[in-house]
Amino acid sequence: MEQSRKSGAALRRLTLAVLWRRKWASLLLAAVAALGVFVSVALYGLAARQEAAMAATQRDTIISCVVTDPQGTGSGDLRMPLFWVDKLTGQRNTWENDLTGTVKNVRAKASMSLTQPSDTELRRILNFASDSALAPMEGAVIELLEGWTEEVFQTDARVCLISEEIWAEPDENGILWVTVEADDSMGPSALQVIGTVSNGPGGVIWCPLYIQRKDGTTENFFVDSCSFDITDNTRLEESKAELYETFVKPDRSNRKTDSAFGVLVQDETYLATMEEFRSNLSLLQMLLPVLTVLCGGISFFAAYLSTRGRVREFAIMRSLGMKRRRVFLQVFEEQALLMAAGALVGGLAGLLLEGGFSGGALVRAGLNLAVFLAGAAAAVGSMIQVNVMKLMKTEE
Amino acid sequence: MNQFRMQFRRRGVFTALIALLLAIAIAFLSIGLSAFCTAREQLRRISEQYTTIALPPWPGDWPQWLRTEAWPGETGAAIERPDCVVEEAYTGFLNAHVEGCMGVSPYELDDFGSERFDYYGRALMVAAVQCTALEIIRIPIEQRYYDEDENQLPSVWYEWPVVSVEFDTEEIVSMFPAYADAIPEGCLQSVKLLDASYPADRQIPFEVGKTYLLFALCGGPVSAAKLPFELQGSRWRIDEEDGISLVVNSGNKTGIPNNTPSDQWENAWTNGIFSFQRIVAEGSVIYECLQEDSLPYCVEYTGRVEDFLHSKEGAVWLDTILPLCQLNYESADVVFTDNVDSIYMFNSGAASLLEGRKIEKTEYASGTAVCLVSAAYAQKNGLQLGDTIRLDLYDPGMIETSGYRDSSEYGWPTIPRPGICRPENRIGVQKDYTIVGIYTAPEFEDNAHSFSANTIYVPKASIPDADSYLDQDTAGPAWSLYTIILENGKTDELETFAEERGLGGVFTYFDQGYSELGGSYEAVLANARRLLAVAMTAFVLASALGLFLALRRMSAGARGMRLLGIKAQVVWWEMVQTLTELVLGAAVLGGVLGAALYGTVTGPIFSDAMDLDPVLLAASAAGLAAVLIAVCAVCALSVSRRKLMQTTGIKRTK
Repeated sequence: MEQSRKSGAALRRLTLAVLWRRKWASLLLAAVAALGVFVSVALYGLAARQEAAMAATQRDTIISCVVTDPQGTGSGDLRMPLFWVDKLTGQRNTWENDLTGTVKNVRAKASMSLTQPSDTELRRILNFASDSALAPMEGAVIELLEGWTEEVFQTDARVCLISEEIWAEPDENGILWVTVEADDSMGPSALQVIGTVSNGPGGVIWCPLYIQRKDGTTENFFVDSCSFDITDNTRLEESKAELYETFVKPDRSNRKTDSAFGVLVQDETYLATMEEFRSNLSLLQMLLPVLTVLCGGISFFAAYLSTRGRVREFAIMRSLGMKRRRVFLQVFEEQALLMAAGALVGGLAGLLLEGGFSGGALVRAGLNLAVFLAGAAAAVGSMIQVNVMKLMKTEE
Repeated sequence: MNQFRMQFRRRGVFTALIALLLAIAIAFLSIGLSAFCTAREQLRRISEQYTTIALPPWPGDWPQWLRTEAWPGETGAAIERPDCVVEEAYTGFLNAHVEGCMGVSPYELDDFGSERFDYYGRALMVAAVQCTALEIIRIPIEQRYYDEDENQLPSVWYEWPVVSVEFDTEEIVSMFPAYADAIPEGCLQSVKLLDASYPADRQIPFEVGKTYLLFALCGGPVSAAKLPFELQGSRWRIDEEDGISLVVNSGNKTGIPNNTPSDQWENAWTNGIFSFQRIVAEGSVIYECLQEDSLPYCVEYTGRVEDFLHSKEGAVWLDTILPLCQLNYESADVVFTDNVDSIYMFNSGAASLLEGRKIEKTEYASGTAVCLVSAAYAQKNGLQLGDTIRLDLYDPGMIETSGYRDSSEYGWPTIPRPGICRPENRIGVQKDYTIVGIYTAPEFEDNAHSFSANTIYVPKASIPDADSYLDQDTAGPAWSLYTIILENGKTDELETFAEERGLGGVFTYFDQGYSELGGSYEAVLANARRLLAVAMTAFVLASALGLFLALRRMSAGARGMRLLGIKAQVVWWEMVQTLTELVLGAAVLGGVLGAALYGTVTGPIFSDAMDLDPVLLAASAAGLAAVLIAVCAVCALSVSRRKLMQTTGIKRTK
């Protein structure tokens, strides 16, 4: 027992001495082991990171849809009844199954001539983006009075924005009002002025799309233009299918009617881009196992070759009476030590790079190390089978 | 006989394994390099799909602003244009006669409020009429004067005689065909002319009861208003008995002078059809008279119109005016550019493709005669993808459509519209363009950055000497045709540049959603780099190990050869030869292995365009082999010159 312990300690010293004597080879082998762990960790993180980034892109990208006539020949003079917009906004409870879960940021504009103030136009909008004439690059400057925000245009409040040159009448509280009258049966009605538009179109009054009439109802009218964004890009195809249950896919061969409208989903660039990203991710996902296997190959051959070069050393050990099992264990111990040192360095490098380990990365790193040991084992296994006398003779 | 080669041959398994190790290292790096190149190519293709633009907020000398320290229009020291600016794009604007194709009018969309989009071409009209009523409306105009201290001086009053004439229509001689369908029949029975235009002799040219040919712009039904939903039976309320209005001096429908009467009086101008001169007669009466060489807007005739047209007096009407009308009915706007995505409508998504594709980069570069037309235009003229249309180009300049926007502060914006095609402004370029894309967009919008449905987009290089037709006066009406193209993802840089100069927040940016890609784009790039770095590390380590083992195997032989008196140089050369053969074999094996693996992986993923580039792979394998051989040569040098008498590192034992 004691002798066995002593011989074990001696062998261990021998192992360390051998490792030190072959320091460059040892260092290289340890580096290869480190590489195996590092590559496993680093490559595993690549795909995960790219998947997360793609999900963010998918979530953040805005896919706009434009309502057109059924033929898709135009989108600026739709003459689309308001209840189509109801389907998108869910307002007025016109529809049982609206599209509020499918679309967001609805933009719609309707315009009509006013008889009072004369030569003016009333534009009903859901938000400023509904009317391109209000866009900053057109020079329009919108100034809202204190306490008012753009959100009021999504309500049915009787308020308005006016072109700078339109005269508004202040009441006793200093609140500005403008009286509008269209050529209909409702007669004139007063709208509270909540802001002005300078450098925009002249002679225009903007009010909420769903503005209430004097009698508290919201009239029906034609909408000139309408667009919106898809709510959830991850279910783009389902969203499109839902949209096409209500709208048609614009096609010049469609019949132009007053009761059908098209929707053009502007997703070409998005789809092309996501396709590129997806293909890159696929490439990565398919390359990673290949590279892991190649890395395993490097580990295997490195361990195998470095061990195989020591055949003469093993022959001497055998001729000195050392058993095959003992030789095998000694070399295996050497390799295990190198592997452990390498794994530590590789793991630290991976940790620095990735900030943590995932289970998958650890499994791959373990496999790589196992391949490394297998290489060494295979080499030692084949070496200790050789005929010692014959080998020594050959060496002579 | 090369000793080392023999040694390597004799130990075939070892040699094969070393070669295999090197081959795997080369394959690893080749794959990493290929993946890196593929990712770069993918990112390039992604980036190419996006164009980031900055639109200036008002007319100004923006090109100068980008290059000097001064504000637009002022002078200042020269500075470097910001690096984020890729290009300053000037969109070109021409007009073309399109053989066999009619323009689209707002009237066809039941939009009688947008007749200005037909000015001037489609609105041209010739009608034979009989005068039924005539009235001179004398409008008083006050001219105010101020002294140096801006105290008002006594005003001077002028008189501006406007002619209001009513006619019964005898015959419509020429009219844009769609008008006849869109304007109610009853409307066309009478014509009203409210205009300040006078013939050159300043005499009122009309007399009740007489018949005239009128050449003017059709302003549509005199009374037309958009009605609310409840009255949808008639979308537009049109009082047919009011007839249609005609305008001679366009952009001036109500008869109020465009310019404040001041020192601009007695000036001359043209609207592309008629030439005018403003004259102050009798001390205080303002006349806007046709110049002597202007086309006439009216002529008295008797008898049949046909007979008059073929008479000597009617020659100008038959030979000039009527062909001019037809030419303009068949005209369309032509926008030429190097990138349609640099144009607001396409970049912002206001215009999007309904069929076909956009113009490709190579077509812009080569000037291929391809074009995009609007769906409305294509539908009206029965055009399909692949059809060709013949464009006969004209350069009538742009007209400023003023009066439709409040221009109180900066005096803008004017909406770019083409002038009128006349034989004098034909540029002599006639080409057949193939339709490659059909887009849909709002047909007619009153915005400075919007083009009408009559716009055909063509590559700039398809027009000879296109630059000479560019209006680069960004301080004038062409300001909205100027776009700053930025490097994708660099809007912040221009904004910082603008902020530093007190113009922060004034530019409007559009990037087609590129900014939302940021994370994915960076992830792909970072992964590609990381993959390459990992592959290089693997290559270096595996190669180092392989070469170390090979050289260690050779070192005993080298020492022996040296001991036998063979020169170190010869030993080195033999070592290098052997190692080169080993490395070359490994490189070929690695290259093939890399190509096979990478090809197998990428085959099902990518289209042909992304197929593995064999040249790249061969070059990378050859490059790596060269590196390895060089390393071998250096290492072999130290092995072959090893000192034969070891003097250091020997442990002496007692």
